Amino acid sequence: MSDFDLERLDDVPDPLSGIDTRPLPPLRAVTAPSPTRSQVASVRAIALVGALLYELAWLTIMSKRDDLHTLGAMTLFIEVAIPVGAAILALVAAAAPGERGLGEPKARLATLALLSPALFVLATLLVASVAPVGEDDTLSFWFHCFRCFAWTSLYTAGPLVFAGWAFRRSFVVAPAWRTAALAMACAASGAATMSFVCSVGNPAHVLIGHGGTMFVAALVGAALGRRFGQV
Amino acid sequence: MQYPAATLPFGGPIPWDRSTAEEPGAILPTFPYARATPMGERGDRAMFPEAPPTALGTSQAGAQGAPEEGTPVDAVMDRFARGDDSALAELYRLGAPRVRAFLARLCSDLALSDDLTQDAFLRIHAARGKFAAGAPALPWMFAIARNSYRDFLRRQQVRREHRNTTAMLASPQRLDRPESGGDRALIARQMLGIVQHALMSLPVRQREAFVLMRFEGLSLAEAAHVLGATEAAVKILVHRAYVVVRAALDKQNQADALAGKPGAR
Repeated sequence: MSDFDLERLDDVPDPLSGIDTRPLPPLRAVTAPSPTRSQVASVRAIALVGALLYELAWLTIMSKRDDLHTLGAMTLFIEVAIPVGAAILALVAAAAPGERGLGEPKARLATLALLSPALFVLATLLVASVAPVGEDDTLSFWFHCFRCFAWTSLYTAGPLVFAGWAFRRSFVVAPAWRTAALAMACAASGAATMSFVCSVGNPAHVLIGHGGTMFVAALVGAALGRRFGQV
Repeated sequence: MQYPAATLPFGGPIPWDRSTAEEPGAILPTFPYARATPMGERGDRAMFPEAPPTALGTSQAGAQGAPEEGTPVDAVMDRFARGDDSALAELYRLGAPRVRAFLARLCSDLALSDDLTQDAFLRIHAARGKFAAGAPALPWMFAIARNSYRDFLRRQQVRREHRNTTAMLASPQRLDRPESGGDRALIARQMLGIVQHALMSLPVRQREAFVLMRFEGLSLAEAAHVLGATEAAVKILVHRAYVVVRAALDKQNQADALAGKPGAR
């Protein structure tokens, strides 16, 4: 089947051949103004800045983790860089125009979108195995996880609102995938903020408590993508 | 200017083709871009080498694998995306025939294709700011038209009328054909009706892939972009659709041959 010769399609005549002799009906009156390309770019830039300010505001409000001063610069960088990298990957997957203006091709979109959580998971496990940080949980593991999940969701909410505002009805093709990637990017930014707040280094805690929002956000984004993300 | 006659695969010219019509201009397709051209050299330029450049060249170049730049519809869409509201009318004039033809081939209903074209252009208007600079406009417009059609099907499904609508759409009588005399014309109409019926019997995704590649002249890569699928997946979809349509045509050819109708092979 893969060696199917597309030239053979010529065999099939066009069912519309010579049929439609009607003139084009006039275009329905368009009354509502629509944003131009520069306005869309402005809105997206404002949304990006707004999302970053939202995270910065939480960083200002929340008390930082106790071991922040004792952490090495490299460790801190890695802990923050992992979710930030995941966020950038997911954002590129969602918003890149692609060479034909229809976004990245499906294969690359799926790769980028799945690479984002994969990077988060692999890097978290790698960091934990090479340089374990944080202390053992004294309280219930699941209680900690749930608490961090709830806070990370709160950190994610702002970027999600901004993303919803800036990218509503933006995706022509594969809206579910792209909205999922976008939501994942928002959740990854929330996870990055959480890295400054939570000192628990248990990789299972980081994956579930901090990274779990990425999974949930992706599911919600995929479910809502066609309804709210599609042009 | 002498146009070469378009032919149907079972032999003989298309009876209402403009080059063979007894009264020139009597039966003129208003879709100069609707083509019965070979895949290898698709498009009006290939079919009518002496014809002036068409306003819509993107898909024709796409078949050759080389992205065409600076076609009028791309330029107009770009102007519209940058905020020139007056470009909408021109964009509609240039792009609507292609979008309407695409939708008509998808749904086999001319009135419905008109409605969906309107819906698609409202979406294009609303989303103009999201059109990427330098991108070809037609695949983008096809993708939006496809969304209009998909949403229509979904609404029908929600209303639990899908089965009835599908049956209605599958009726070959939906596309009324010009009545011109002769057995050959009759066979041609019959064959086109068979193609239409076979297309409507396909799953929507197969039909979309087939229409985009066979009739709209998109390349494999462009069709994959529009459908949000991989190229391999699109090729499989097109192949499956081709098998069904070809089988329907062969069956009719055999029946015609047995009946001794002219033009049957």
